[in-house]
Amino acid sequence: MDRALTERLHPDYLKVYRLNGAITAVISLVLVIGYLALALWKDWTLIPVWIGLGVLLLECILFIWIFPKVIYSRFKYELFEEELEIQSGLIFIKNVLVPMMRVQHVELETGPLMRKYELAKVAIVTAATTHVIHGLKLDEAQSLKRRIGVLAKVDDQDE
Amino acid sequence: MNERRSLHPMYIVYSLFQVIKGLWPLLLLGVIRGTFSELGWYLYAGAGALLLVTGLHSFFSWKRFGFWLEHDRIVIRKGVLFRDEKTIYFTRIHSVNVEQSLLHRLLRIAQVKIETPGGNKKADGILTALSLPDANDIKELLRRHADDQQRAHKEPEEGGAPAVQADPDTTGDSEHAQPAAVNAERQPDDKPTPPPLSKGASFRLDTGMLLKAAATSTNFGLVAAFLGAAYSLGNDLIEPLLPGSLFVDFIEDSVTGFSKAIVLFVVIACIGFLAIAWILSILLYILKYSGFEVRREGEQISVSYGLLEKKSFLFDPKKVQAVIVEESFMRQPLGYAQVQLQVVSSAKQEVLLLHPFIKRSEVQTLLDSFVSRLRLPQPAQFTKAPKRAMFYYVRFPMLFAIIVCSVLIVFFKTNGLWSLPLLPLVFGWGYGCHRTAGILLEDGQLSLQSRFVSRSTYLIRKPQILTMSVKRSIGQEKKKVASLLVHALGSPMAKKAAYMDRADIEPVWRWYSRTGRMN
Repeated sequence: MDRALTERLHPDYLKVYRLNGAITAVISLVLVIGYLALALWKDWTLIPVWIGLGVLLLECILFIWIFPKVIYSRFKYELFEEELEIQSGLIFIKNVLVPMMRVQHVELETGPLMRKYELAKVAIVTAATTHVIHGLKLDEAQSLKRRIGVLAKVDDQDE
Repeated sequence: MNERRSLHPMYIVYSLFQVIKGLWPLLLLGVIRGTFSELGWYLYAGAGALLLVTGLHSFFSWKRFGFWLEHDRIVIRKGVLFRDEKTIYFTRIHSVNVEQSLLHRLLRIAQVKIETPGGNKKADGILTALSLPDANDIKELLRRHADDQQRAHKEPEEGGAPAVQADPDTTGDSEHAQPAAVNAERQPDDKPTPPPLSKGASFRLDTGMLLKAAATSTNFGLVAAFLGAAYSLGNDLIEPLLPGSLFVDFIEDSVTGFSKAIVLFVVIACIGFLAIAWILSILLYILKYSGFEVRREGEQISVSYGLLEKKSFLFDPKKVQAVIVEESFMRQPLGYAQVQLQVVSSAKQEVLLLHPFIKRSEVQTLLDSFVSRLRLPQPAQFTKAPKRAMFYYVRFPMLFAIIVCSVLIVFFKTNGLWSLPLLPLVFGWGYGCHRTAGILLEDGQLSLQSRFVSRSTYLIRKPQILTMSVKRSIGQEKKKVASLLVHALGSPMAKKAAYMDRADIEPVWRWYSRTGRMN
């Protein structure tokens, strides 16, 4: 857990995360404006608007500014011959060791936003756990998937 | 051996009862409401028709239900309208359970459940109703197949572990122990000789031990639920008799000043409640675990217990992933523990009970006879969590307790002060958790000790660890404190050693890491 892991997420993942945050923020803003219009029309109290704007501000700060930065800077991984180590975290930093011989399959997934930046996420599935590497360039993800596939086949009867 | 076998005819009665069981609130309602109204006739006709239809359905599904035991597989065919055929190869069978619910016992039948790995409930083969000898016969047959398979792989090892406690006068009835020999004449003819039953170790729970175990059991949850139901029922009965509910009186009195009688009444009621809960918990425990026995059957381990509802399961010791030794706070001072196994079974991620009540000093003998190569270390051997980590054990519970106390004091003023003893209590709990937490790495085995209420010790070997993680916050990183999480098959939850010294975690991490050893 102390060794320096070399691989990181692609910087474009930051953009996708922020874009996602921005989209949710816009949706919240639309909701707030909708209520404001209704409240002005029907003469309702404006307190919910202030609360909504406060939440919105917090949302922007957290999801567009702080969270992506922290998640991106904390996320590191490296694939070794016999295991994969992933470090991730927001409040807690978590290091996990996944032995190659325990990997059952690898999944590659991408959404519309991620596709725009040619990003994909790689999920490494063992018999009981799933470990996700969120934003990699598509070809990088493909090659990681293939490498894990090859390494995982190595039948190592340890101990 | 390819002849068609069918279920016991009692299956018809059994499934009829199942339907009635599902409908009984409706039936009760019908009887109460319907008897006196002019609708009664229709109701009886309806009920009769329903009974007839389900009866016919049960009859035909019994008729349609057939299973064949072939040399390498079992085929089950069933279904009246929708036909269903299931083939389970013996190689794929994970465990075979013989179960008897109360109804099964009344009808003198048993259910055989054949579980396959990774399968959901639908993938399991269930033979709902068989006569008890037949059920055990089939279980034995499948067990033999499993043994043969293993023999094909390697020479059988001598499973001659010593019998530690073979007490003849157990409370349980002996009918489940008898039929190992029943199928001697029905030996499948394609096999050379029946493999000799390796006479293995067996553990039982005699009456005295059972009582002790029951008295120290703490399954108050079940009892509380039961009493809650009883109370609500009782309240409904009492209400017409007593004008005004007791609690209204009580609250009024507490506003105008405590009347001594009421206080006394409440205290007595509480003590009575606890006493009843305790007695009930003892009774339930005895019902559940009497006749407990664990023994080796060839290559497999068989565990069975239960007075009304018989439970019995069979599993391969090689499928055991980890051992959990749990000492509840009432048992720890007496030196008794409960032993559970984390086993890879079908979709159910469950822990199996290996022994409900055993002296901690005897746990090692138990493990030696059933689970290979795991050792239970002494509590003193563990490397404990460092002093500076105590804060992390105490902070959230204390925060919660302080909030609760402040809310109570704000609302109830002076009376709210009675909640203050909560604070030292919660602190003591956190402190206890901190004092118990520890890790130990010894001879290729990782042991984690932790406490929630009861002290639990987790034993696992390296090949069984699926993934390992280390978790810490920034603050903890600075203080060189971290939590170790170990994930194994058979449980969805990771086992945790919380807030340990990083210097103590690092050797474990290096031990588990396959690359770490090289540099």
